[in-house]
Amino acid sequence: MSVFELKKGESAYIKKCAVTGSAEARLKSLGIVSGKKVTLLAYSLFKSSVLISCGAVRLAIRKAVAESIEVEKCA
Amino acid sequence: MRVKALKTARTDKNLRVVLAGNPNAGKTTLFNSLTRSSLRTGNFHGVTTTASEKKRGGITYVDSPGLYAMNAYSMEENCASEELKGADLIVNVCDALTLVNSLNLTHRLISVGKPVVMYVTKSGQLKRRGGRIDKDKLSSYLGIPVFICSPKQLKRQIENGINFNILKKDIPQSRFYSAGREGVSRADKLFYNCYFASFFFVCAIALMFFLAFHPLMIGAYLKGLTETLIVDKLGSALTSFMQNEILISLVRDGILGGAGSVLSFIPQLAVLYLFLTLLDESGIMSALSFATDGLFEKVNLSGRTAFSLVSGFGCTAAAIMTTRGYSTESAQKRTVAILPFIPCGAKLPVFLTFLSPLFKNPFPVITLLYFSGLGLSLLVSLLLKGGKEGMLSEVTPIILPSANTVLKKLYFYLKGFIIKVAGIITLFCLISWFFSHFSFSFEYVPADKSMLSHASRIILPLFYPMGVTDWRIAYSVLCGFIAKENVAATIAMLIPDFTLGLGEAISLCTFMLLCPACISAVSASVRETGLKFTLKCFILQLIIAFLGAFLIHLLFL
Repeated sequence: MSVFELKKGESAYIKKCAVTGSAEARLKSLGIVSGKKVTLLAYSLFKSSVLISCGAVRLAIRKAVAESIEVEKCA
Repeated sequence: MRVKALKTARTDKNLRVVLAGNPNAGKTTLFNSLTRSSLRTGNFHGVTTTASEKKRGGITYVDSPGLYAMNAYSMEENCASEELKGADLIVNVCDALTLVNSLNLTHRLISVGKPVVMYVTKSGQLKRRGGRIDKDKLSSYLGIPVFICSPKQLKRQIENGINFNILKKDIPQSRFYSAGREGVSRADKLFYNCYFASFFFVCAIALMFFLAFHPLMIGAYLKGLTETLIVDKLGSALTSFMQNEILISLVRDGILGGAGSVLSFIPQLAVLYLFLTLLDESGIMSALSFATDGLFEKVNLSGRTAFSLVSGFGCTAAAIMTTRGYSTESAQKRTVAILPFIPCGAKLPVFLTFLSPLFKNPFPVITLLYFSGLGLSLLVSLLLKGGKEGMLSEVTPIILPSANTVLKKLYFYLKGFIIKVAGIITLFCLISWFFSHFSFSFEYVPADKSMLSHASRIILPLFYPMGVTDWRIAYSVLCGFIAKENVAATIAMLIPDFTLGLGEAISLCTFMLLCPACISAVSASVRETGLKFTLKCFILQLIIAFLGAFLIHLLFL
């Protein structure tokens, strides 16, 4: 499943980041890479983006990019 | 060796210190303290979009936009990497709350090969949430000097020379840093909810206008007092010992009646700026730009536009500068094109001048005007075609801003306003006074026979469809293209007992709402989007403004 499919408050580990280009570089420099634990904090109006937290970082990610971040739910 | 390099540069008196770091680390706040400047700050990622520099004590300090990595995602980051090339000393400004993530950039900065020091901000906030940072161990881990001190102490260190002789050691992260509680606070949870955030925003804006414009509230009340103080009391005091009729008219009508009457809007502007500052500094604006992203996505923009539009309530020129943080040029251009529809702070005195004689309580009409500006800008951006703008930006936690920060910012806003009125607006009033009191043969005549009246009557027919038949109003509106405050100042000067019909007043307000922004916003737009695009927008907006005003007047006929 992708990070976009998580429900509010759910946490998951990143399995694969299939993001390319400059967005990939930004995610990397924010430490959002495979193996990290992310929590979904909120959805924006009309569910266009999600807000996730990963460590101290809180990042708003548009649907298209969020759908290419594959995660595995925490047991 | 590094110490030596730094010292030689010092004696040359051209040491260039570049502040670099992740967005929202506090670079501009540090820059402002180091150089006693008042550049715009905010609790938001990407407030600074251009580099600025200032020389102080033989050292040039350079503030740069936030940087994540050395390869850029947005246009502003390119600017920051450029600045680093010319640096003699790089001060890596790091947010203590997100220190681990910023170390990435620190390593990159060190690899540039220039002297680097780290300056840690927000360490107090880290302590409060139970975190800890060991300065000396962090310094050994990185192999560079680390400072956790006041800006003043940092400045002294830079001036006296810094010891770069630090042995790099391999230390595990847990020994120099612990993040403390990183959880989401109750306030965060509330404001990250998109429905609550949107509802809160609408209520906050309505409350702001209520406090500023309702006749019984603080803004309008203080405005009345200031006006009496400046125009009547100061006016009669100054003119009491003057004999010359021309001189009296110059002081009473030209300077105090014109520019002075604009100054009396300070209390109401203060309420407006206070709200904008609170939104900015508390981090609510940051949460809001995430929450409203869906709305802007529908018009091919992103939540960042919310930040630009709300900045537009303050000043359109400043708002145009915020668009540099966008990742696509098309989205930047579209935002610049819609920004003039957001009424800036300077338009406020103008609306009030038109509406106050008609409405005892102008609060509902003004609120309606502001929200229609907001709606219109969204509508126009829907009509403009262009590529989609992505959303990939950090959101800050909600905090209670310190009174000191808020008051300081408010003070600078108001100081800027007073300087503008005392400078360009007064100058413009003097020029207008001269041309409206002298004829072509330089005789002192009533306004109706002056040079200005003859010249203004040429453009007057353009305003007939709005129901305006007074050349003085046509001239005032024209003055607005220099600075919007001019409209209010000129009307106060030329038309002492100003009143309009309802149709004309609403039609003129519509014109002011839709017309192109002032000259400083136009020049900002030229810098950001080029002359051709700016001219195209300018002409289109002018046409829309005239047509809109004509239509509204037709409705009232």
